[in-house]
Amino acid sequence: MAKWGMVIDLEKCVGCQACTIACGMENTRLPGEHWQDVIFFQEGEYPNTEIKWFPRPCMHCENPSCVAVCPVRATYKSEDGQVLIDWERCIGCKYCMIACPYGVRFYTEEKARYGGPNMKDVFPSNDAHSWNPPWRMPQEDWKHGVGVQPHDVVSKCTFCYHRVSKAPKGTVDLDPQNPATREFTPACVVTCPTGARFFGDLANPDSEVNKQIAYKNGVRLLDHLGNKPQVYYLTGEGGSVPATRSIKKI
Amino acid sequence: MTIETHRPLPADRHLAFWPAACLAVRGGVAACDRCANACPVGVLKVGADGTALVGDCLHCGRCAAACPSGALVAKGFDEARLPSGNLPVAIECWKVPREIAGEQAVRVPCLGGLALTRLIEWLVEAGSRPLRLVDRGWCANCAAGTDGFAGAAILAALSPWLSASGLPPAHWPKQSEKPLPKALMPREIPSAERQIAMGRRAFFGRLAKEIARSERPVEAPAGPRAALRRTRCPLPAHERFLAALTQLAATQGRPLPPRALPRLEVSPACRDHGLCASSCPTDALVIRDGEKGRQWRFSSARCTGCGRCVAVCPEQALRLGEGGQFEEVVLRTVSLTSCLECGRDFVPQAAEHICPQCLAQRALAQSMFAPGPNVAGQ
Ligand code: SF4
Ligand code: SF4
Ligand code: SF4
Repeated sequence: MAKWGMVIDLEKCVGCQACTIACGMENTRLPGEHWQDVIFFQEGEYPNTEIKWFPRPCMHCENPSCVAVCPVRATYKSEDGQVLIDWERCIGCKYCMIACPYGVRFYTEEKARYGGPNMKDVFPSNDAHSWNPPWRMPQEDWKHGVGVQPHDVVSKCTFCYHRVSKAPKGTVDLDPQNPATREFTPACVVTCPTGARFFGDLANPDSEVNKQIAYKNGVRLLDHLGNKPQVYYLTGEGGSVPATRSIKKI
Repeated sequence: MTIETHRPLPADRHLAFWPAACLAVRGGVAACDRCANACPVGVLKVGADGTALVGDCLHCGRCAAACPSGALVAKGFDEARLPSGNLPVAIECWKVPREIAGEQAVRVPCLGGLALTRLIEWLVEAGSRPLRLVDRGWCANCAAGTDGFAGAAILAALSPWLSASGLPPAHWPKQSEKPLPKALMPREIPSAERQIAMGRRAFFGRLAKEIARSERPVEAPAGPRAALRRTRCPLPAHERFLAALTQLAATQGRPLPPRALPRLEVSPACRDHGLCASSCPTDALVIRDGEKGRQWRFSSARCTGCGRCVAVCPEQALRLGEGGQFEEVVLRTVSLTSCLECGRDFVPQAAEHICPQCLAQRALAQSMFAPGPNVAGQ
């Protein structure tokens, strides 16, 4: 039993959104409904403004509020620490979407959050799937919320369950640079061009993720809420990306 | 999602089950577990796939009587017929031998398993003939029994409905005590095949039907549970209850008693999450977007009063009472705005232009980059 966790180094993140696109391709996501978003955020008043950003996957909380509220136990915590949704059980009540403090969940029947055409109309589905994408990821596993999202259910990042769950037992680090573990590593981690993401077993003190958290003072989002995310951010000194931080320091 | 109607439960063919009508299948066990609670021996369990027997069923039918939607049906109750003539009608349990009960008696598996609807229908049908639930003094010793007479609970549950319908108490069904020696009581409720009296033709016709049915056992709904929400919830038992009560009230020249129709009120605390409607297992409460904006619509006649909507509302904005209207009513209408940031339609609380999700996202970002100790002092 591992306790998978992710570390995102904001000093390395350049906001290129390669992770968002990789996740979208890997998980057949609709444009505007990517499980992994890079959130851009403008701070300050003109002319002293700056743009900041951070990537936001599901935090796979240790103490997930989404799991606590689900009336049919469709959302659950797996043995290896992922928070997953059983699409066969979900009744689409959206309680979890209200409960999640990080806003990482998506309901199928909502209008897409981007300006383009609605892809569900462009590629209409004639079965239980919410759309019929022109490409498909190879796996379809509704018990773990993997595949093309069906109608009337909620979906979110699975920490690439279909990849990570195939890693040999006892694996500590899922490192994309290591050919032995690359294929088991989440798509966003494999893709990140600056190597800002690390993935591994938080329960093992020797894992790379734990080292990074220890060396660079990893923080968790909205930690006061007690959700205890399993995604840690390395913020550097000023709690921001290096470029903007150095501007501040002048 | 292809199950059109009831199928016998694989473990015991006295019970038939219709998954698409089960509120627990549609809305989770939190929405309904009345059948499991009604079972006197605790052998019926409710899960996300509906009901299942985990032990030996007594055939008392209490579970089916408790089922608000009619998803669960027990054999022996609907097959019983009132005798013709104008003698008082005695309702007896199957354990009482036919010779003692008499040919005229209406026999059901257990008096504790009578549904309100069944009794009300019989009341209407019996007209001026009195109905008597016969207490043989056996219930205390019966596995399906209670401390006292098993029929007492149903009589107690019936009385508010009868007074609301204006039926004079003299015409109410009553308990009649005719004790029999305990030694005569069979241990088990006799099986349906021996009890349901029917002609040969009817018997063979039914046999053929049941064999055909039993070849397709109850299946758990395939595919996503959410697909059920695209089908309207069948409510055979609830519709029958309202119809029987309307008829009964009509015999007294009254309309359907107001307490039969729940009434839902939305307070201004509502923040338009829509959880209530999406948790409603019977689609009594639905939210529809139309020309006038987003509307909360409530059909009292489809509401079984389970209280799910009230329980899930994070703002505690709902109140369930009685005295609704039979027709669908619009509880709330709000106009929608498109979010400037994401373009999604949302209900503005004040004159906002940014949807709650985007606001939450901003707050999240702010919390992330709030000036830390390193920056604060500069
Ligand atoms: S981030 Fe939200 S969806 Fe993910 S585990 Fe935590 S509460 Fe649940
Ligand atoms: S939307 Fe699905 S996963 Fe979320 S709380 Fe409702 S049933 Fe559970
Ligand atoms: S009482 Fe009826 S609706 Fe409720 S859980 Fe049992 S079978 Fe389903």
